[in-house]
Amino acid sequence: MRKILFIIVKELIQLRRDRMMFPLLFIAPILQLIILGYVANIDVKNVKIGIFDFDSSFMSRELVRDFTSSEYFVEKSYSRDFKEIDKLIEKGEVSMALIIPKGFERRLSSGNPVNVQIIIDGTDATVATIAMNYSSQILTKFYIRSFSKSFPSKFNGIRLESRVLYNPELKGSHFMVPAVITLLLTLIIGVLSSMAIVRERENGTLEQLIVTPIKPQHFILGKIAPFVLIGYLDITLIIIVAIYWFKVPVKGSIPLLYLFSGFYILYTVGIGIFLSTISKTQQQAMITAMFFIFLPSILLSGFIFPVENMPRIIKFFTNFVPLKFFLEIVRGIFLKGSGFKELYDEAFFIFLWGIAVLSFSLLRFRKKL
Amino acid sequence: MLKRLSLLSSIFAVSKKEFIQLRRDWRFMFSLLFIPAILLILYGYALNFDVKNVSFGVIDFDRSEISRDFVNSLRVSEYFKLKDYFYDYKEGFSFLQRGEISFLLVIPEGFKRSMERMENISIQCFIDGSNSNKGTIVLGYLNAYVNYFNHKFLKKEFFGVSLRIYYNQKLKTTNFLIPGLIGFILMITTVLSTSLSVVREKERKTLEQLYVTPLSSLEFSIGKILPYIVISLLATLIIILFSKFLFGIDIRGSYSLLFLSTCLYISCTLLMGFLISTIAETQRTAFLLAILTSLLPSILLSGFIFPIENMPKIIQFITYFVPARYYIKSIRYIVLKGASLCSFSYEILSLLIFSFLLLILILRRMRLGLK
Repeated sequence: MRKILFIIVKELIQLRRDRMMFPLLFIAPILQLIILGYVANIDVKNVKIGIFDFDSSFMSRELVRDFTSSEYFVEKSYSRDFKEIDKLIEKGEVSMALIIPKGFERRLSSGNPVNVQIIIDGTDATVATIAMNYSSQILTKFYIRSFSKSFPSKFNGIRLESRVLYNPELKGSHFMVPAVITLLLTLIIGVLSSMAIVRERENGTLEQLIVTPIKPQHFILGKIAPFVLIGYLDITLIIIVAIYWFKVPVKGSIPLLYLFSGFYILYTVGIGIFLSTISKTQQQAMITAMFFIFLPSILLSGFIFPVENMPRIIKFFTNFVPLKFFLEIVRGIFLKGSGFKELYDEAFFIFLWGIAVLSFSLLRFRKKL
Repeated sequence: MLKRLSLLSSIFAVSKKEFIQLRRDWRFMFSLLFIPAILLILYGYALNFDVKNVSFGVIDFDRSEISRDFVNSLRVSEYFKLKDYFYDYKEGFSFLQRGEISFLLVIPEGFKRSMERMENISIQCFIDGSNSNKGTIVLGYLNAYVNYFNHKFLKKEFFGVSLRIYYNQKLKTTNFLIPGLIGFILMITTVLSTSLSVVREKERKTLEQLYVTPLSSLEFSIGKILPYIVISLLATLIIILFSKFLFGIDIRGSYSLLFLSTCLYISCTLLMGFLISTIAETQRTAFLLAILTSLLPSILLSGFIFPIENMPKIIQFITYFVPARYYIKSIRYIVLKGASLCSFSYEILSLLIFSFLLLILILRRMRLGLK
């Protein structure tokens, strides 16, 4: 036990010597969290819209007002020059154009069919889809209103009474902030712990340590422990910021979160050691970590992009990214209040991955020594 | 005149040396050239926000023809996929909790009767909002769908919308994301490739040897970066070919504009990596700095995924310092819209200024290092 402690102390001293390391380990996570929390919104509000009202009647102005007074659209230009539409959209000055034809009011009040034209910039498909849905809602409401004026009837058809669960305001920060925990654990523990071992090899101090009475398992434990400690500190820090700054509700139990994080840490430590056994230089370790662990963890785990949209082959690959399961656990505990019963499968999977990777890489490491 | 010639020739000499070294480390060179393409293939297929096949559950208390009709027409659209009918709330909610369905529709008893008597009626819908983006889109689709159903049921055809979509007619998010992905990939590969270059020499204490050569720091930095610019341009060419043939993304705008903006962007990011390398003392700080300044900002703050206009003002201000922001906008405008230079001249200018500022910072750092 004392031997392990020696290594831990040595490691912490070395970490402290690198002036930039400390802020990078503790300030960077908070910074990331705050930026992510504010940025991660695909809320579509204030879509820039250009109005082309060729009727300029009472009713057409009313329809325009329906659009501009909603929080979804902001009027950016008003004109009657048809040629301008293309230019405005190409320059990105508006993302949508609403064109009301001449004779709009006349036809509508006499009960004749009338067409309103909408042109949407499809470059950002998400924004376009949402804007399209909003406009069809506004148009329908307008239609029902103006229709019921001339033909009074109480019937409005079906009304959708929707309730959003788990994240009632559909806040992006509630979705992303808990996820940052998982990303940081992967980054800090996986990458740093692997470099810590490779560095000793590069500097030739690994041999010196081998001749001391310290056993390999003590060495590994002592090496890894500071990073596990840092990982848990970062988790705690983030949970505090998430709850008190972003007001993300924690519906599940935090001890459960700590427990399952432990499983995930097992896995990242295993990966760290594994990386250290296959790389000769720090540069190699970093680049391997970047491309084989870090990028897949961000892009293939469901951190931002939903896994269920991916093609089958890639979906299969995502099973090799344990972060996917850990994300489900973290988001489940934070937002849905899921307990052990719901998360059992995911936790078990991560645990298996952890044990497998850890024991495999420990074996490799011993052989190398 | 003579002086300028010697400047050029010494830059050339440094580049030549760097090239020879790079060629020797063929594995590194290979990865510089092809890793971007591999990343594009893998992630180009993986990344999209298209909301399709959203699975849902139904509790139908009415069990009438018309309620089945309602559910069925929802089910045949490509957006929604019926998971199952449930018989009580508890069962439905447990599926919702486990994430096996994304929303739960509850059709009340008497649905058919009210519809026939033309009485207003509401359908309850519980949506899993934990993924806020998906939740927003699903909610929008559902509302639009209910509107459509009402229209059809009422057979009122007074009012139509004719819709035209520019640039990305099928509204595939991939078309929007791939140009962004190109900017992102170039960012990480270029920054990583130079960020470790100087710091490694620092750790091995070979940097002093370079200081005693008659090279000025300007010649040294430009000469060192030049080969990387050439290689990265080749890598860009490969990725653009891939995105054209694999993902069917046509370049509508001019190739020369694309070349110009890519050159500027690459020099900018390479210089960034170089600057990191002169600042950091050890390789691992360099690596962490590179991640923090290139990887995360170019995902989060560049408009690659999250629209910049929606961000709070302070964060919008920060995005001005992220070069990927300018490149991603210009490449999208060129590739998707076929826009002319005047639509993104501001972005091109910013990249130019950015590169100059970085070069000045590097030269200052190098001079400091000499003392």
